[in-house]
Amino acid sequence: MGGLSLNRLLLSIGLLSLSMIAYQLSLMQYLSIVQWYHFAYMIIAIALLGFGTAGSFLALFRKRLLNSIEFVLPFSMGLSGIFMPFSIWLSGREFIKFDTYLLFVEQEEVWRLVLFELIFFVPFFFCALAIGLAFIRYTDRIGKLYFSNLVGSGLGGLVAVLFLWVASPLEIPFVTGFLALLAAVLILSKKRKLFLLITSVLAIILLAFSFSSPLSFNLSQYKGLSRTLDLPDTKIETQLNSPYGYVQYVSSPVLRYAPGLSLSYTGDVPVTDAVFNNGDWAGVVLKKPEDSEILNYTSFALVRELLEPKDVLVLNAGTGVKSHYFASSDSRRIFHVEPNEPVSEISLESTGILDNVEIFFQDGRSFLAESKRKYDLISLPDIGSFGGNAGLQAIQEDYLFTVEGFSMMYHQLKENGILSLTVWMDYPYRNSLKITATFAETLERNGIDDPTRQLIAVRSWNTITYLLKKTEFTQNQILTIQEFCERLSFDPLILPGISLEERTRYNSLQDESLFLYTDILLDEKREELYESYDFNIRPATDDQPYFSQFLKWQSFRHLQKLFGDQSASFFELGYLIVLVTFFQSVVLAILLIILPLFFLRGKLKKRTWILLYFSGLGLGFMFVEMVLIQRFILFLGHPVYSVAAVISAMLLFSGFGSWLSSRFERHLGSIKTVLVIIVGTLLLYSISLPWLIEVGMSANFGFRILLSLILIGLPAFFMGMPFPLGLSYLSARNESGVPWAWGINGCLSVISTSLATIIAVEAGFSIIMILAALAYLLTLGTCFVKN
Amino acid sequence: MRLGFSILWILIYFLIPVYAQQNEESRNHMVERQIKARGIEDKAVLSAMRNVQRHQLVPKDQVRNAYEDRPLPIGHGQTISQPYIVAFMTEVIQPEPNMKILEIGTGSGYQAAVLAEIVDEVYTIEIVEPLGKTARRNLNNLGYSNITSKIADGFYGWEEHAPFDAIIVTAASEYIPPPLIEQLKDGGRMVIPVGAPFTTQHLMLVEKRKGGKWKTRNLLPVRFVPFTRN
Repeated sequence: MGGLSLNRLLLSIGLLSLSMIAYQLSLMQYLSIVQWYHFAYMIIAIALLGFGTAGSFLALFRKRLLNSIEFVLPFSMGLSGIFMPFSIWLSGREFIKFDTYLLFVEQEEVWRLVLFELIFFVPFFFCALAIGLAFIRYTDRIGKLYFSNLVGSGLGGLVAVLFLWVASPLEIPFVTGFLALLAAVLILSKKRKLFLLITSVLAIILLAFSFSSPLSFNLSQYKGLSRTLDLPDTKIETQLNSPYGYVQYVSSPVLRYAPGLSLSYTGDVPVTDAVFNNGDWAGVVLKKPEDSEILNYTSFALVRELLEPKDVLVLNAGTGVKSHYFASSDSRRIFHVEPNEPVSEISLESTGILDNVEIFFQDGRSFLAESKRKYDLISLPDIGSFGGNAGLQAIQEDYLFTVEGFSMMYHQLKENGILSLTVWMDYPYRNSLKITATFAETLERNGIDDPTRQLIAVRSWNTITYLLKKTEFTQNQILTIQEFCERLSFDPLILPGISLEERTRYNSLQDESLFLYTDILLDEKREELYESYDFNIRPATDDQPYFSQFLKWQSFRHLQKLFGDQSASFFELGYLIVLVTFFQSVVLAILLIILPLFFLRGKLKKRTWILLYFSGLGLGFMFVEMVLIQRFILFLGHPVYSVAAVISAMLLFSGFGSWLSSRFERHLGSIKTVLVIIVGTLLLYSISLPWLIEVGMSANFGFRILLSLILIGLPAFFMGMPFPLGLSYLSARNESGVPWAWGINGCLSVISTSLATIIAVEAGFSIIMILAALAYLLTLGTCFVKN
Repeated sequence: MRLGFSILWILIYFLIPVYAQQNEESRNHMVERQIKARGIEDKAVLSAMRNVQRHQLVPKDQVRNAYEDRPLPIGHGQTISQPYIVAFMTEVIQPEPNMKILEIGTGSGYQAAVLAEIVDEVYTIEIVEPLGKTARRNLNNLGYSNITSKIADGFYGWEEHAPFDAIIVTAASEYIPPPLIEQLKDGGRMVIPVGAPFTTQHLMLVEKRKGGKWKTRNLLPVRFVPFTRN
């Protein structure tokens, strides 16, 4: 690229990296809308293997590609840009259309999945090819190029968040495609006039399409929105996009709201509208606040029978049904707390807000940490869905339903305050048992030996409502509970001195083990049940905040025998998808990274060193990123802030580290020093980070942002150095190994994402941080091996 | 040309009976292995399951899977239940020839067909128009004259034909519509499946007693095995 200035190349690589990260995030949202979040996760993981494949491709055809770099570099950028929207268009065609729900049901869906993955692999592959080619062509300036790549990617994360506020996921791929084509134009030689003209025209076409996108959402027929739109006279009234999700407001004459309605009720059931987030049910929207009175005939009403609360905190209040319910009395003050701002806003605007409701768009745990107030009533969101869900929430972190979360709420109750929670009945019994265990351990942690004096539960035909009181329930309150059950044909599940007959007066169960297990969990022998039960019912903690993860691998065969392969798969669909992703990534990484090695035998020296050094970096970097994202959800109050802050700050600070590393000498001494600092910092973090976060949570937002930048930036700055230093060191000794090293790093980054999720579920975040330190230690170890 | 037609007719002549026989064998096999083996004993139910041509009620691309031991997709995010679940739900409401039964959620029409083999009158309501129309056409083709169907909101039941001896709600619902309870005879039974699509469903049985009293019972279609390993 004779006449190309370094600055233009840096700008072009930065722009391409920005467009790719922004595309990746918007694609994630698009796939979450048409399928599910887990599916999006799986597709992106495979697509990112495009980086590893490009590395192998470069290693195999290095000379030929370098000889025609003037053409290949902009051409790859251009193809990447064109395929960004084109892949989405292709994925909606009938012959390719895939459905996650059918993956474990219909065999041909497996092939469709492969096709789907292949389609989205293309733009990532070409983008990686361009970046990798620049890296191996200019290894002497790798520090600056890597800086440009990282800073571009970091800015891409921030730009994506901005895009998601102003554009739909159908429009963003055209904008990112345009940016990628612009990156190609920037480095095109003026001698190639025709190529320049075609690329510029294509860029303009993509930009025009971003204002009027020809793409459409091809939703899975099993998504809540699809099924609702099949109902007569049901239509989408309005929609808006944000980083929280794509929110759609749906009106219908046949949607009604009466969760677990008592069969004694003979009146009308109110017709409602509904809100969907990324095509999934987000809640009903009442036509008027008074419609919430239907809750009087559900088990949820129990708390209003027992106390007349003044200060009511409704956590994860969603569309506001419970807030309306409690707000019916003027003397009450309702604190409506919901992290997903658009969902609450669009719903409350429609129903209308009463004067005694204060609204906070914040994560529940973070609100509790900041709030100095005590409450008469804290109402938690319902757990599960009618009949149980298909295990899709298994790997969704939730800091409200951890023992630490419950303890925090317990402390913020007034003296006679009550915590209220409703669980949908599922079978086999999981949600209800884990909740009982969580309550019991919360009370135990707070010095209460006998939980049955402060915990009661009432069961309707399909829901269980739990009430946890700060002090013991009085005899009068127990009588009121019995009267309530009698009136609405409910049965007490947990009540002092209760008999089996009282527990099944109106609603009997063929499998009565629910009663036995509930009693055991309230007893000291609960540890034995945790061990012997086929599902994981041990309470979630902040270190493993996966309340909905119930699968025990050792029980899976037993469940398959009982329910058949298909049904057993649906118990933990979310977790199984992560596992499938992991195995797919490992197999593909072997095919794409290890196998090409055989074609390069003669040329490639220091193979073991390259493999171990860059595997350690790939694993370590992503493990740290994953833990920081999870930890900062609690600290910053929202997953969106956390993801944006961690990804962007990590990439930006790593970029600065990379830039600085270009001034270092090309020898192992400097690499060793940097790696020792990283390992030390990570080990320190594995012990001190949870504590720092807990202490800092109650500070003001500005201070928390500053502290976040320091805590994320410090390790990230150093973590940006070993990669360019390693490549630079390698290029001086064995240039043909550079693309392969780059590919290994890319592949391991992908594998480590799903691996980190599995480790987090099984062992917790602290362990991942220690493993990240060990991964960097592995890289450090390679520097001491004689070559 | 003539030769071509002749070959075609010969093929049709021989293949159709073979095809019909294969399906009958599949049904018998289904009843023996999937239904009787799991404890369904009601002779009328077993006979109905042997008679109803399930493969005629599923979408074309699912015909080859029609007698498999699992639910099948039928479009619009709906499924045709696993044969065993249909048999179990039918047995639970204790159907008899002189009965009048209401079904909420026609779906593929399979449950209505099984009921129609046993009872005198079946009324079935489907809210999703394309599903309702396809089911009506398929049930007519199979000659079920004792099934009356309509496309409407099942919330209101079918007051003109009430009261019913039993009600089967085939689609899971967060609540039981009060009009359905009202349209159930005293001593009548209502059954509702509970569970996410494609998972093994359990059932909720509602028994209406005299004087407006009722009792629910959560039933398990699989033989109960404790979920503990000790």
